[in-house]
Amino acid sequence: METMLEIQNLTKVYPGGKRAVDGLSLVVRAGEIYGFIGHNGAGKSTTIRAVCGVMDFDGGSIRVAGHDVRAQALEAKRRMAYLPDNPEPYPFMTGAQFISLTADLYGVGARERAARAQRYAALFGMEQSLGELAGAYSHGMKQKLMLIAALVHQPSLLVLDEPFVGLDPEASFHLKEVMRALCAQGSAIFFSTHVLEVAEKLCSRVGILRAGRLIAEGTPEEIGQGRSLEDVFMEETREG
Amino acid sequence: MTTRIRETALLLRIQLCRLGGVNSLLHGHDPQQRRRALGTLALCLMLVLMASGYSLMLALMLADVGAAGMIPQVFTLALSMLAFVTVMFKGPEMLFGGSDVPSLRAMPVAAGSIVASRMLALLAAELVFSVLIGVPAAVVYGLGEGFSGGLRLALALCLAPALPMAAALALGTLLAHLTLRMRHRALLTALLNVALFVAIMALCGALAAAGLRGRLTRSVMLAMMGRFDRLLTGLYPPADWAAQAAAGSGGALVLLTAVSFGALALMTLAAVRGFTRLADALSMAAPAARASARPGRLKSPLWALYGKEVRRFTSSTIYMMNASAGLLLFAMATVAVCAMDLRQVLTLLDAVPAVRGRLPGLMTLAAMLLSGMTNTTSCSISMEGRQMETLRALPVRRRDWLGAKLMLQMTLSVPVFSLCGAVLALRLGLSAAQGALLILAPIAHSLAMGVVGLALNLRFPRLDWQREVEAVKNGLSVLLTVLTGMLVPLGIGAAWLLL
Repeated sequence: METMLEIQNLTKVYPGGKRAVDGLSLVVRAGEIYGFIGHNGAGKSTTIRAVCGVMDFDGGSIRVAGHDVRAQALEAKRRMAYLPDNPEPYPFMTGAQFISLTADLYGVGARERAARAQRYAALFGMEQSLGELAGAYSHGMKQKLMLIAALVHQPSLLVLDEPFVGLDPEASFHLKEVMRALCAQGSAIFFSTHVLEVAEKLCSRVGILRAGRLIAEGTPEEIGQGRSLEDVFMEETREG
Repeated sequence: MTTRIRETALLLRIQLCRLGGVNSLLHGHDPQQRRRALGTLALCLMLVLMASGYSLMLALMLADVGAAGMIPQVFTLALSMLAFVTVMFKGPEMLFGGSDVPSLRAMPVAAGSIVASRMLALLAAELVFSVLIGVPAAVVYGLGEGFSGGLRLALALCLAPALPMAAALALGTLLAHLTLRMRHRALLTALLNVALFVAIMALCGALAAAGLRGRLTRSVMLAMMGRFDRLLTGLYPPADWAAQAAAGSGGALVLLTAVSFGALALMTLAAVRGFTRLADALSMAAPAARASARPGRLKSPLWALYGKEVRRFTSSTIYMMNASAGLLLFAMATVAVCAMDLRQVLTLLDAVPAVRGRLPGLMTLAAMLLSGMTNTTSCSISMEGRQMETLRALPVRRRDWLGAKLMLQMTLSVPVFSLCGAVLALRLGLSAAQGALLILAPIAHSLAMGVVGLALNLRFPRLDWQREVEAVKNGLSVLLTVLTGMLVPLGIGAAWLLL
């Protein structure tokens, strides 16, 4: 299977000396849903932001669909989409204008973008809201808009930071369906979450992060070995 | 009562910590952030020196022509206008807006304390201007009228901004309230602000025109000052009260103090009553125009980003007003030149030897000066704010991103400088070469300053703003770019006139 995300020895040190990510290495292949779990401050968001080219890093390398995120930043970004934990679409643009801007930047044609936007807007219950300014949206609506914009170009790698926070149960259900469908088409998903039940049911593989280091990795069954992911997580993160 | 005062003091401290990045300088660990804060402070110090120097020169000039008695009126008017214009543009947002409003409202503090702290922060900022501009004037005034005269004037000038500040807040809040439910709210508010600005400038023009009669000799200038004084006293009584207070009238000082603080207190009370409604309304986005809910046709990244820049620009009153001030002044100057009797102006200019025969060149430099004041790029990166993360994750080439920002700058400056330059050239009967220079030099300067603005904003971005005014007006890159944009034509002009 094609490697969609390859992180090698990633290190990020913040001013003041805090090592947020310390020699992290992992691989996400096409068709996989990779769940990234850890305590607050474990380095999940830092890793995700480094993957998406939002934040620079101090050591190691990141490749998206074979493209180095530093040396071939544009090529790497063209193949992925990112949904931050705190979605911030431009408040002075309507939802439709924001989707158009994103589609223009990814070079998605008018017909394709209209069809996809319509499909995902209907799925997430946003059809009536796309003509309104994003500044008037609730947190959940902003998240849905960013999701539609992220999906409009059918990314090879979808990176999501805490995607289920703020979504209503119906939208959460549809998001999980979309994630599975996208992976079935050959894309990969890399996401962080605190909801361990979701990770257990949804992910093909899970990585547990502690103090910037990957302390456990595998399928939920491999990691759990008969126990729930929650028990393993509590045990693993308590040690050390 | 004690609780309210304590709350107000605590909230005021938060407001003041935000000013000029002082808190970042004191507590920040990021060396780049500290360097930026230090740079801002150094630049502010330079501006302080420039403002004080300019004020000193004006006061000395008045004293030199024997019009030292007019220093109180002139400086009261100047400080009042400055307070009115600055507060009018940013006041309502400073009073009722900001992303910290929801958290503040969730805290156990009274709306009165929130409003009072914000009002005091605004007053503190205006007082800084009063001290910078007023103290040199008071010193010059004190040289003629004695130490106590200077001290009384300094006190009167410190009071000067209070009344116009209250008036500007009332008017600005009224405009904000009237336009809240309207589509294109920002554009409409900007147009209303422009109308007000034009009215103020027209009034100043009328005052100056009332004084301009014949050649500019010392006696004519004194007579002109006398006429100006009488007009001013009739139009703006506080200027006269300040003069009387400086001359030793205790009653005038009490009247000025009572009116100034009374107006501020009234405005504070009104703001407290309307705080919840206005804060709620300002936190909501304006109703969208009849926008399509369907995504549009495919555009190139450059044009897509340019569209975003245009929407960003037209969505913010403060951005539009700040970035278009030079264009507005140039357009107004063009209208004034077309409307006035040119013979009178040319006769007046003829009296100044340095200007004689150099009018086309000086006009070009003046246009460049105004072009230097017109800059959208110096804060356009800061304006990305919290959306910067969204943008960074998108496959955007830097040249498209920056090019779109530069295109917005040129979209504003090219039509105005082309049209007004052509009109001025025809009206003044300039040669083709002089006309072309009048059009092309400010456009080229605008392009150059657009690039400088981008470079400086890339170096000193301010993305953590709570209110747009912090990015548009208080950024180091904005200060540096406008300063460079004005110093270049001033330097060329000085070299041309002196060498």
